[in-house]
Amino acid sequence: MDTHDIHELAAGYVLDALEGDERREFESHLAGCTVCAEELPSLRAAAATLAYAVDTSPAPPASLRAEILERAVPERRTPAPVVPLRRRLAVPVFSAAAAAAAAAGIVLGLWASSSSGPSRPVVVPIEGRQGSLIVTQGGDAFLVVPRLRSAPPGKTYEAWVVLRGVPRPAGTFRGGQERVVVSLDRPVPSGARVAVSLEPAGGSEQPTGPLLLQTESA
Amino acid sequence: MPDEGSRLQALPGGRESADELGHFSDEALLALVSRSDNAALAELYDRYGRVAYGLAVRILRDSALAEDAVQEAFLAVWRSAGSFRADRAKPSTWILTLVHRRAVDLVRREERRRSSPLEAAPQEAAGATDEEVALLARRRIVQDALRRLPDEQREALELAYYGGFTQAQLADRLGQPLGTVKSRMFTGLRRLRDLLADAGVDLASDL
Repeated sequence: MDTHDIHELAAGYVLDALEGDERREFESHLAGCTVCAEELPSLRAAAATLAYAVDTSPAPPASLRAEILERAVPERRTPAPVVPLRRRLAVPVFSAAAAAAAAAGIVLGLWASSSSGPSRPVVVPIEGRQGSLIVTQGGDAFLVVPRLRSAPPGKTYEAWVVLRGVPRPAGTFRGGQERVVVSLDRPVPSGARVAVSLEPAGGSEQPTGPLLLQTESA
Repeated sequence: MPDEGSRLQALPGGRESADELGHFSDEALLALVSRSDNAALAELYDRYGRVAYGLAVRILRDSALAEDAVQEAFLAVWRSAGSFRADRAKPSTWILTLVHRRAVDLVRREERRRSSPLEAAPQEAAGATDEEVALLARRRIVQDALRRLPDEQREALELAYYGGFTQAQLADRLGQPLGTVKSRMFTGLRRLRDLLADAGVDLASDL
């Protein structure tokens, strides 16, 4: 008759040393035990450090990396629960109607109001083309755009953070790389969108050119 | 471990760079992976693939099986990055846990359990790359902590983690009551955690 303390199973659990009935027993215990729930992350992290105690002198073959990346193709998946992917009205972003639509698209209580940024990195797609906006826990925002052609001579791309229909400058960039990563000059609050236009070299205070791309609401 | 998935830093205004993924935190990379960003997965592999493979080889004693385990784990990362919860673990912990589980499943299925003790880390490695030097340093830290555990606790942890034994199998193998094995594992893992924390290793699961 085993009179062990069930909390002790936490170690076996994170070491993958429990099977079948015992694992199920612990999992149902875990569902109702705050002590175990609080301790589990640090135990799990300690167990994972054991991976570093092995001999890593044989490096994996390059073919392993290639195979993984080859097999990692987009598949139908549950999207990360970041923003509702609503259809947008096809209106220029600076019209009153679009401002109302953007306001209606405002999210979502995903961001903890006490922190400067979201509680986990938020990834927001660009509408109609590849690329994303990433907002980190620290509140930093990055625009990632693959295959954006270089801005023509005398011109520059400019990013805008658009909130309630009002665009504010967020940095200029040239484009042209395989994949452009732009660090935005200003934070992206919840409900805002990021847009990009082509401007005269040096940038502008307000967009003068048409919008080339915009994200959904953050 | 010092968090080498370095924190995202705000670069001066509007600066761009073709290869910024190296500056992204692990969490940001996972967010990109959840949106099918293959390059972000590649960056995560470049950070953790080597130790993942080393772990799988240690458990499986077979390079082909080890490759399978690592591949399956990273493809699981690819498929389920969207459900990763940052409040439960660091990304590196999650990834290495996936590798460990795959490897242990394989070793049990193939009945290839081994129980040889860990080799000591070499004192130095001539001509090592930066990555190899960092890995050696981490290895030494963890091995030092393990050495400071009472023998029976260390043995229980190592046999479970590297040998793929269940607690019940360990009790059998060591000729000890199951309750004793459970206690040793629990006390040992907690002590290991505390020793690592004392050594400055970052185990924090909150960000």
